[in-house]
Amino acid sequence: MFTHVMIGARDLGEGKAFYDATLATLGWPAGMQFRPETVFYSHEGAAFGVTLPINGEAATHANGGTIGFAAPGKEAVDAFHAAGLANGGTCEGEPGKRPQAPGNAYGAYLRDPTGNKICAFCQLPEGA
Amino acid sequence: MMFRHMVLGTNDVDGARAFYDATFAAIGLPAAETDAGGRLVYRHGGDLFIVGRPIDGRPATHANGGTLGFSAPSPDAVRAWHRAGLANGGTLCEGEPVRRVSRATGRAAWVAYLRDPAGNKLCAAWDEPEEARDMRSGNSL
Repeated sequence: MFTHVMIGARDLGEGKAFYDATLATLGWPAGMQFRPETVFYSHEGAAFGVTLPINGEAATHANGGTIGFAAPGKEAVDAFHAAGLANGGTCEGEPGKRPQAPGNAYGAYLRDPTGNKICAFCQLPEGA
Repeated sequence: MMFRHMVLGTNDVDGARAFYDATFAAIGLPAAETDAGGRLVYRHGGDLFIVGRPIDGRPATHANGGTLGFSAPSPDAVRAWHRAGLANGGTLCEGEPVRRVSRATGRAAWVAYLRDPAGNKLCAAWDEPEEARDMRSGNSL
């Protein structure tokens, strides 16, 4: 369904440091400098870009928008959240069960340094 | 599937439904279901795309620098997606659908861009198979 997702960064180095650290906890390789203004991450067919806006204006985050990454398990969700907080992100929801989501979901929310809202989710085993 | 879900904000759920149902039909995706919170839920394979009012009660706003790209099954579908969007409250963004070759990867793709009624920047893309490029350039594998 998705070919790629691109988000704006107020500072490309800061954005790369944040996403290198957080996505590494989910098994993604470090970002590659795709163009002078864009860093791209690629993992198992998914592509994620962090970019300075091409219109030259400041990057801004949406209200109402969230990008959800798939995590292999609870430990990865916890590590994702901790890595984000250690690399300029802010907490938008502590790691924990998410009963409003389908199944036995476990997730954590962050804002990246630019304010973009992201999360990582996994499914816990039944009854966990 | 390394993305679990994407959520975009809207201030007009009915307008968003018209836009996304029409544009997704053009690229072979099913119409929206509605969840308990009144949000539009689109599912395809293991992917999940949700459109709804922001949970903080404030108006939905779009990002600057952000784009969400959807996979289209053919160049015709890319063009149909673009037409359907313009006919259903979307606005022109980055011009008309175009075939272009990535300078970074050498891959050719048909791409089209739109903004949805809330201003979120979207893309539909069809990647040309590697074989097609090799045939046209006369290269053998």
